[in-house]
Parts: sequence; structure tokens; C-alpha cells
Amino acid sequence: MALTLSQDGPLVRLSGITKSFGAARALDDVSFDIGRGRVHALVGENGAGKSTLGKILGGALPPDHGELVVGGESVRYGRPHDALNDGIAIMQQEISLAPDLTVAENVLLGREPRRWGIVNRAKLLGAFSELRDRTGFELNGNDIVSDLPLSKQQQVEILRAVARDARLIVMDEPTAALEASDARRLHEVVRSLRDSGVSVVYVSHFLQEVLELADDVTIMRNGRHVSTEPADGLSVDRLIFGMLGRNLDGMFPDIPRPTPAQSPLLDVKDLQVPGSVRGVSITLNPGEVVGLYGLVGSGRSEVALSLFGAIPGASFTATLDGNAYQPKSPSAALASGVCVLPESRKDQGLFLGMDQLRNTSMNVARSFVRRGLLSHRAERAAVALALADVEVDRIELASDVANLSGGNQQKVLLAKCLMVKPMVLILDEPTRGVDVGARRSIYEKIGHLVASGMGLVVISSDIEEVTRLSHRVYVMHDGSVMGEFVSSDNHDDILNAAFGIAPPDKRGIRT
Amino acid sequence: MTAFSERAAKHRSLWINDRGIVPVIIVLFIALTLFAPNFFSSANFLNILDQNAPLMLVAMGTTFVIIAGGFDLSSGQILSLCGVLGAKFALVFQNPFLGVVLAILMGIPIGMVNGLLVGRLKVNSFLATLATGFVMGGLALAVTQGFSLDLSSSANFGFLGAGRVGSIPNSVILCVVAFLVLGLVLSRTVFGRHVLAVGSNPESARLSGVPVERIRVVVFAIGGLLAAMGGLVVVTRTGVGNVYGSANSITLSAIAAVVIGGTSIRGGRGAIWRTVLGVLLLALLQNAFNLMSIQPYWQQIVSGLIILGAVILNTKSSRE
Repeated sequence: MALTLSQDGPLVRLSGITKSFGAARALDDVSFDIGRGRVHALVGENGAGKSTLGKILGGALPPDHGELVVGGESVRYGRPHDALNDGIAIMQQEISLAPDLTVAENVLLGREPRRWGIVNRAKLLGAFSELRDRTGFELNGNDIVSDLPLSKQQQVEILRAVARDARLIVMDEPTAALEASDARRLHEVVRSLRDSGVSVVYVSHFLQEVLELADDVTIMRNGRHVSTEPADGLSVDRLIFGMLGRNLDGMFPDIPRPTPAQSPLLDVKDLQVPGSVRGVSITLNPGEVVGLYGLVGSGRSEVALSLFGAIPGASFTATLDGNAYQPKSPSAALASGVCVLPESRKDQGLFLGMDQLRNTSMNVARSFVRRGLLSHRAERAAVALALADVEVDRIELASDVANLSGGNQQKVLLAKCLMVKPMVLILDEPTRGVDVGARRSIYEKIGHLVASGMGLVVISSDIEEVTRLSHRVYVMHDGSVMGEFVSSDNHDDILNAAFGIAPPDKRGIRT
Repeated sequence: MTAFSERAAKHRSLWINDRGIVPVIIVLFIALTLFAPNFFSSANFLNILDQNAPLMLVAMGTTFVIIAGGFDLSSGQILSLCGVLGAKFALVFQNPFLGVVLAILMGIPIGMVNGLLVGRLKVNSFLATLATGFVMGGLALAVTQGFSLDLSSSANFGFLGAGRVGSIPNSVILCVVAFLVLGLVLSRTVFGRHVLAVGSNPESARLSGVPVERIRVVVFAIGGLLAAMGGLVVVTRTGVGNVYGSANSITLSAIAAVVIGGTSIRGGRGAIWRTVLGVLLLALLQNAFNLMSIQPYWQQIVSGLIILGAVILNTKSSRE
């Protein structure tokens, strides 16, 4: 289905694009147009082919078959440089700046004003300021890139594309790692790029974000093009239907209410981490989901890791199931029945390059020792069950977890936690970078776990996720708990608390 | 193609990619059998293994260090130091057997110094072992004072390097035992699992309850122990305690053998059998050049190219 979205003909026309990796077909006969000066969103589950399509547009991958027409001319890109010459720039999921150079040097890398090989710094800064003013970014040309937060680094990347007269910028999951406020700022940047005539292809898992930001939306499913439509007539439900080929009856399952407990499962008092957490006290009852909401840097992950015995300087007094709880190390916490699914899947959770079997059983390898040696048979049987229990799509015990989609990787980590049979499970950003189907299945699993009497802590930047899953929500700001809410409370109050504004009613407890 | 056979095909190609060293060894072996005079004989095979026993032992120890994500540039110097310590102890205690055993065990605390520097003090393993290697080289000289510690008259001193059971050299038996024990430790124990985890992702390992610091200390201790064994094989073979002249070269050969076998240079993936095949490949080449009387510089050139090929494959597979 090719729609003409612009009177002057499309900026880019894809027709019959096909791309295979080995036996796996990543893109199958994909055709659609990208209009001039439009924000064009690309949505689909993990593995739908969005990122592959982005890479083909940006010249990082050549298509096997099909034609790419840019500004009316058929093109074939061998490398990103070729695409860049045609004004197509790609912003990868990972930032690709030179970390030790300044902002201005990065933006104008390779096009520095120079004379006899010597860079003219004054001219460099002048050229940079001109670009910056055109986009309205708040960047200092002399800052070193590695000193900047991620959101600013993204702006540097965008500016670098603008400096190369980009007509089309492909952004792959640009807000996945951003705070809500930084994401809003990025949205404004995208809109101002569009208003200046630049097209943006925007790959995202956040459907609400897509609907707010995009002019056109292309839905992909299993490497195939499902539809390309103006965003105006679309809804989240329509998008999910297109992505899955079926309806999700709402994203969030009913989380069973906890039965009133005599005593809390976990009672933490005065948790301190030098430099990041100041006197946090929280309780968790059996069969309860407690949310921990706050901005990155508010100390929420530090609370989780402290309770897991993973931060050396942390101090607190706590009881777990009536007994004093003072873990000295993660292995002590695991032995007591407390497990954390950490925030960063790749950096803190997975062993990339190792197989599903060893990733899943790492916490409990000791339990498979028979006569001094690991029993692979016992281990395989237990891991296969654990992976099936969390509904991993491709259970291949001997295959590298790096081959799994983000959603399945997260399920592997969940299975790894559940093999410990924890009393308390702390999930730090359980659905970051996870596709809709896997997200739903993780939510359902949370429902089953609380029904069995486990206590869960859900940490998330997604206010919808926190409030829909949790019975109670603690909101953190700057290392302290700003207030305690119930899920029916006004989202604005919760957001305000996260920004350090005390809630209007008396329920909020300042600690 | 059905989905099933597609998957099978994918697995087959991975199997080959993953075990590229096996066909290379087989092809080389067949070629040598056909073209190299006197290659195919048990005496020659045992000679190859005996000659390369020190390298084999050092390389097996260094495999643990590399899989755990580190480097040991001091392994050759540990070999040298423990070798002369063995001769010294044998002279001082007037007991060759005690001297040898004691010197082998000295490899453990010496390796632990590396381990504590890397594990506890978080010094980069490359630099830490470069530095300790210098120190050990100096200590070895201090032990000998520049003289040879002559034990060639002692009948018992040579049991490890020169003794045989039937026709099989004791050094080869030591290698086989070390291979079986270390292979089992790496692939079938919780400790081995933890070594892989620490090399793959230390932070994930820490958050999975793995005692990361302790694992690092222990892998260097294993490296030290195996290097010490290599040192004692060297010294007891000649019966003379000398500072080992090619200490640094055996260190680098050991690292090369590990990589040729297909163990990831970035840690997290590998196996002891791979290192054994890596050493064998280098050893067979050397043997081939000797038997065919080809100029030794060709051996260096070919070995270098093989290492290069292995490194390229290694880089490619860790990128995938």
C-alpha cells in the first residue's frame, strides 16, 4: 500500500524491500512512502523489522531486493556515508559520539573549518552557534560530550545530522533510555525539525508517544508492512491490533488484592546510601505489589540494590518475614529470599555470549551439584521448566541469549529470579525496551506471583505501569520518599511528587 | 526448507564455526602423516607432547585467567622462578622430591599476589602482571645469584621431567591429569561456571551472587600453580636450575595457544580442550618444520599467520 503523503512526491519511497539474515527473513516485500517534513513513526513488536528498516534507510545495511527511491532517484547505499551524502542520517539506539571531544567538535566532526590542516577554533564555534540557534538546543559548544547526560548527547547527535544538511533523520528508540522530562524535550526537538522541513523516521515502543508525535504511522509485523496511515485516525488499541494481528484486552491484567496481613513481609527503616539515598522507609506485605516511582537519579535503583546487599556503603534496619534482615552481599540476599531483576538488562543482568541454560541457572547453579559436579540433566530440566513458565518464545537451552529479542531476554532474567523462589522480588524497569506481547505476559506473571503470596516491588519510569500494577506507590525524589499513594490517586500529584513538590493532601509523608 | 531443517542448518554451521580448530588439526595431521618422514610414530608423538609439556601446562593455567576476563603476563616468569626455587629447595633440604613439590605449591601464593592485585585492588591485569613479572624475573636471579644450581648428579631430581612410566614420559602424564582435572573444574563445577560468568559480565555476575573478587584471586592462583608445574618440568628435565631464558616468549605462546583454540580473548567463553588443541597445533607445526628440515624462519612466519587468523576469527565470533 503506497500512499502519496505529500504534494511534491514523497521524500523516500521504499518498494519491495526484502532483507534476510541467514535463513531468517527480517523484511519481506516492504513498500511505503515517507513524506517531506513529516514525522513518520515505525511501530511493531521486537523482531518486526523496524530497526532493520532504519538501517537500510541509513545505508548501514543494503537490501537484498527492492528499490529505495530518494527524492525521485533510485539509490543504492553501500555505507552510511553514502546515505549521509543524500541527507539521510541515522541515530542509533546507542550513542555514537566521540566521548572525549567537545560538543562543537563532535557536531562538526569531519567538516571543521581549517586552514593548512589546522582547525580554526573560533570559526568552529561560530559555525556551531549558528546551528544551535537554528534548532534552539541548549548546548554549550565547549562541553566535553562524556560529561553530558544522555538526553544532551542525543541533541548533539541530532545537531550533527543537521550540520550535514540532513533531510531525513532516522531515530531508533530515542526515548528508550530517557526520563519523561527529557523525552518531552526531545519531542519538541523533533517537532521543530519537522517544522524546518526535515523528515524524521521515529522508531518507538511507546505507542502513546507515537500518537502524540507522529504525522504518519507505519505498522510492521513479522517483517511485513501492515499499514501506513495518518496518525490522526489511530488509537493505541488500533496500533496494538495492527502490531499483533489480534486484540490485547487492555495492557494490564487485574492484579489480585492482597489479603490483609498481620505483619509486613518486608519492613525497611531508615535506608541510607551515602550520596544518593537519605532515610527511606518502606513496607511490603505478602501478596502486595508496591511501586517505586521517581526520576532516574532519585535513588530508586539504589534502594533496590541496597536491599539486595549489592551496595557496600548502604545501611538500614529491616525485618524479612519477621526475622532481622541485613544482607552483606547479593548471595546472602538470594539465600534469604530476596531477588532483584536489575535495571539494565545488558549491563547488570545478562551474560551475553552465554547460553539460555547458564544465564537462567546462574543464581542457583549450586543446587544442581550431584556428587561434587554439576548435573547437566537436572539443570536442563529445571531451566526448561522455568523458561516455559515465563513463556519464553524460543526455548533453545544451548543458544546464546544475545539471539533473543529484548522481551524474551527480559523473560529469561525473570525466570532466573524465579528459580530462586524468592519471598520478595524487586523488578527494576521490568519492561524497558520490551515489546507489547512480552510486556503483557510479564504483567500477567506479576499477577500470578502476587496471588501466590510473593511480595513485589516494581520500579519504573512509566507512571501508567507503576500505578496500574501496584497496590501502593512510593514516590522518590532526590533520595527521599516524597509521598505514598494508592493507585487511584491523581497522576499529576504523583508526577509532582517525583519532581519534589509535596502532595496537597495529608497522605504524603515526608521523611 | 522447513523451519526445523533451517534451524538444524544454522546449528550445523555454528558448530563448525565454533570448532574450527578441529578440522585444521585433522587436516594438518593427515598432511604430516602423508608428507613428513618419520612423523607417524608413537615415539614422535610422545616426543612432541613431552617437548611441549611446559607450554601446555602454562597455557592451561592461563586459560582460566583469560576466561575470567584477565591476562597473565607473568606466567613465564612464575615458571622461571618456581623452577629455580625447586632446585634451591632440593639443595637446601637435601630432598629432591620435597623440593619439587614445595616449588610447585609455591605457584599458588605467587599467583595469588597477581589475583589480589587484580581482584581486590582492581589493578588492570595486563599491567599488574607485567609489573609482577619483572619482580619475579628479578627474584629468580636473586635465587640463583646468576649461577646454575646443579642437581644433575641427584638421581631423584629428574623424576618429573625425565622420568617415564613404561614409554610414557611423566610430563605427559602430568599434562593429561591436569587436562582432565581442569576440564572438569571448568565445565562441571559451580566454580567453573562462575569463572565464565565473571569473564562474561562481572557486574551481572556480582548481582547473581557470584563472589567476583574471590574468583579472580583463584584463577590467578590456578595460573600460578600450572606455571610452576611447567617450571619444574623444565628444571627437572635438565637437572640444572637455571633462570628460564624464554620466559616471556612462553607467556605469549601460551596466550596465543589459548586464542588459537578459540577461547574468547575478551573472556566469558572458552574451554580447556580448546587450549590443548591450540598448543598441539603450534607443536605439530614445529615438528613438521623440524622433520622436513625447513628453515626455522618459515616456522615463525607460519605460526604468526595462524595466530593472526585465529585472532580474526575470534574477533568475528565475539562480535556476532
